Amino acid sequence: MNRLLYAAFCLSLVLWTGCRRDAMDDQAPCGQAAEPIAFGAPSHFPQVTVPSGNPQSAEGIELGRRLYYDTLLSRNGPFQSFACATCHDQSRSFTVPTAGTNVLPHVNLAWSTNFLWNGKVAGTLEDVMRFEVGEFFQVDVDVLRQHPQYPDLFRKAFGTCEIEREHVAIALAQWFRRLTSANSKFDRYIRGEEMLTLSEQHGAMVFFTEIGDCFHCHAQPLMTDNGFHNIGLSATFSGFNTGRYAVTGNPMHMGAFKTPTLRNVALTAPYMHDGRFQTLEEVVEFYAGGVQHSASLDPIMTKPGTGLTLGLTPQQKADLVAFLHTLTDEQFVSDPALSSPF
Amino acid sequence: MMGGGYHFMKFEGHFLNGTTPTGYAMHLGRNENLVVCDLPQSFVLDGQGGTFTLRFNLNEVFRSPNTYDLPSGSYSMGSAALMGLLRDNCADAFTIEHDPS
Repeated sequence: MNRLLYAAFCLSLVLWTGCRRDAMDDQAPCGQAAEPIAFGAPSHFPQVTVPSGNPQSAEGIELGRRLYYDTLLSRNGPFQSFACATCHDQSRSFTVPTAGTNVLPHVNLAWSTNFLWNGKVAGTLEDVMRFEVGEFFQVDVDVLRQHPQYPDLFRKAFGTCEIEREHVAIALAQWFRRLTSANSKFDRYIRGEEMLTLSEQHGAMVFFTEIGDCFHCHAQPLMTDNGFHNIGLSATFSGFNTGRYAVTGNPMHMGAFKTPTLRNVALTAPYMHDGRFQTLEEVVEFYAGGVQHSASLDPIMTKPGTGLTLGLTPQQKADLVAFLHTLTDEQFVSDPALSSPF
Repeated sequence: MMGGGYHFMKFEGHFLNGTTPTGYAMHLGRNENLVVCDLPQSFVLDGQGGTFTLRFNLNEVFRSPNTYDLPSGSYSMGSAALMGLLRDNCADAFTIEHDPS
């Protein structure tokens, strides 16, 4: 009898072990990262060097996408129930209207080496995601480790069997490289695929010449120089309004903020670092006649003999706004591949 | 007008105009303002070592052959006259040092 019981126990152990091995076979093996894929910058964009330690992969991008939309990222942190997407809505070019500090859109950040309004974080997308995962969200990786799906998703992407914050950061970095916008009406015009209206063409002339002088900071094709400028919003500065100065301590950086991209700008109201302007018309009015002098005012804003005004006619202002609307990439803000996976 | 094209030089900052902090933005562009430089030394870069140093003396931008007046020339964009001065002054601003050892 004892022998029969022992044999039955051995048989059940063999069967259980076999079943367990079958279950393990369905999971990605440890140590084997996903197949890398090329980044593929748009043909009229500058080339991007993707860090060799974090090549793009379909699995990494998809994991980053899921993390971006998942409130698990904030569990046990200071921003409970928030996901990245809570403040970065695809339909608004991955920003949302806010009072106070304006939310910068997540678009074409693969071409940026400094981040946030005052450039507090510099480096690669991996570097800024380490900041977001660590200092900002304070991600509790145990939440991800105990999740029924995430461990396998991380294994498939990076071959890791132990999720660390670093894996969360690099997955998000891959996702951010995927957030590339390069198919606005203006892009199609540059590619010779579509014409601009007469008003839009006149607006482009204002934008790309010293008439409006927008292009020096909002340079093609990214529509930003990724630099920092005091554009004369204020004559005196305190708190958040000190801008880049808060990072460098250089008095000539007082009131300077990162140039936001103008891609999809018609969708990203309100405007400026503090969201003080609600419409593009208000923004144009400011540049046309509202610039205030200070010691650190950007030299580009000091065209001699103009008294800090542009002298734009009402028609030129309307044309400029019409041109700004051509920077909207409808495909980008409605692409299902960039939407929530949940 | 430059129209947002390629800039050969972009030199920006602030200076004291008397006691008033003033910005300057000196940009050089358009094909007719391409600066042609004669480097006063021949050299060969063969990838076998040595040191090649290219220097640009900003003082030359302001002094020869034209005296450049910063208060009246603080914003060169759109001005063919000012960009012409910058083009001519930049011609001898470059020097090289080449140590083949």
